[in-house]
Amino acid sequence: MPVDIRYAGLDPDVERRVCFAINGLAAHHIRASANPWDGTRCDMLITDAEDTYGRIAADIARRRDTPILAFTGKAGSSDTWAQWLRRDATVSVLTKALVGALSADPPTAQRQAASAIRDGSGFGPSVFGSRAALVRLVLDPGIRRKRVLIGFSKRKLLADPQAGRLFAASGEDIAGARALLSGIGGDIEPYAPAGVPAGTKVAVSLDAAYVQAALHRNAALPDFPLRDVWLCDWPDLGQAPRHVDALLVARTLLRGKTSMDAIAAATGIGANAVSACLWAFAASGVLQHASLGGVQPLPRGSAKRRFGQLVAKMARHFGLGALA
Amino acid sequence: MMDGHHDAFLTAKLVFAGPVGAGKSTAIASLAESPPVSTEMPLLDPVSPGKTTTTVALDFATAILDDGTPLFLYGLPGQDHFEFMRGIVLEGAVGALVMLDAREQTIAATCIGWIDAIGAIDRELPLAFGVTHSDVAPGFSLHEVRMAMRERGLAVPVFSVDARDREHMAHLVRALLISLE
Repeated sequence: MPVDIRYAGLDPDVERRVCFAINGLAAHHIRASANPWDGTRCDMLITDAEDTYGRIAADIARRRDTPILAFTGKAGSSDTWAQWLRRDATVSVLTKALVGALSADPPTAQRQAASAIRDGSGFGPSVFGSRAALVRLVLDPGIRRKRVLIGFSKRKLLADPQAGRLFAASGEDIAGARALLSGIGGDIEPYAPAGVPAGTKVAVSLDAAYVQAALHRNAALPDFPLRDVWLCDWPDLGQAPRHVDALLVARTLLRGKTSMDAIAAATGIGANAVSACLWAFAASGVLQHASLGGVQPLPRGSAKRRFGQLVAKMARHFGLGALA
Repeated sequence: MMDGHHDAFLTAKLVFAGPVGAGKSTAIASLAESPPVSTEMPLLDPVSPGKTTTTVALDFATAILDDGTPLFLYGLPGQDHFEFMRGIVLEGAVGALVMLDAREQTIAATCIGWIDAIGAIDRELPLAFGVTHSDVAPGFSLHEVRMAMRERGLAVPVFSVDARDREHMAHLVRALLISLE
């Protein structure tokens, strides 16, 4: 589904440059459509703050928490309800502003995302600044925890959360998609047929692929919004051996309900990396939360053996400094 | 039944278990620092293409930890008629890595079978499962294995791995060690 961008109150020359800039988003792997604002919800509004019609559109968009790019003739507006642009901004400046706005992660969006997950309202317009595929897989109830076909240009991947597998035509497609899943863009749609698409030749762990994607460019992912999350099953991380941190995050989640900040504090792992793991686990369907119809945490086992120094030595040997 | 072990009774020992053809010998070879001592014999009734030998007693190899302590890697024979050896080999182990074959239709039942078999010897022995050949098993699903684990009230690492890849196997061992803490 392309990003739905609407414009209102622009003069023809500005409108032309805006449309060029929106077309230029394709170079950033963002599919977007540009149309005049018609009063309905959209993903982003581009308006002129000094135009009457543009101001009306902006007022409505603000009430809906829709991200706004606004043109002004005034020098440096301090209003925070929009990202401000000069009317003589070039196409490349406009494209850059659009990419920045679509990747933005405003604090209000965190709350909206949490509420969207909780009430099942999904990835509505402006719910979230981020358009990362991993984020959409969590927010949109239409595709959450479902078999979906994920498309990036000519690459098609089938993600099957229940089987815990990611299918593709080649290992190259999987490797390429890992870099794209945490970025903006990509088409995601439910996949109803049984079996896998024709031409599928490769299958890898979904949990591991999403962890690799989330940690590949975790700066593009917002902070994970839900608290009181947990795991009932170990994520299948064998094919992501470079990401030892993900093991520590998983272990903490297996101990019971927790949050991004609590995991970061308990493990010493940076909040960004913890957040990336949480998005990955949520997108692959293994993360549990009350709003996601989560399975109750397993009761904590009885006292474990105490291995002390022996395990510490083995941990060091296998690259687990955190335990040593 | 052994339980309540402490450091004093333990050696740096990992045991690899699982059915015939799941990749135990290969996994040990990946982690070992020298070629394993193996008791491979020609397989008269191959369970999978390319699998021409099987372990009839046990595999054994070592790796050396940073302070010079040897880490012993043992592989249990997969055949049921060597069941009597399991208790002997598992004695004093830090944990067991159970290798499963994703191509097997009854993988969840096999998984539970090994949990029960090892549990009958040492119900507190930490476990981790490595699933091999998942790249050539398009029908493989983790769902049944996870459901089987939940029914047992277990949250044990189950990783799809390439037994030939040292990093994959090391990661499975890391998960086992992390789950101990």
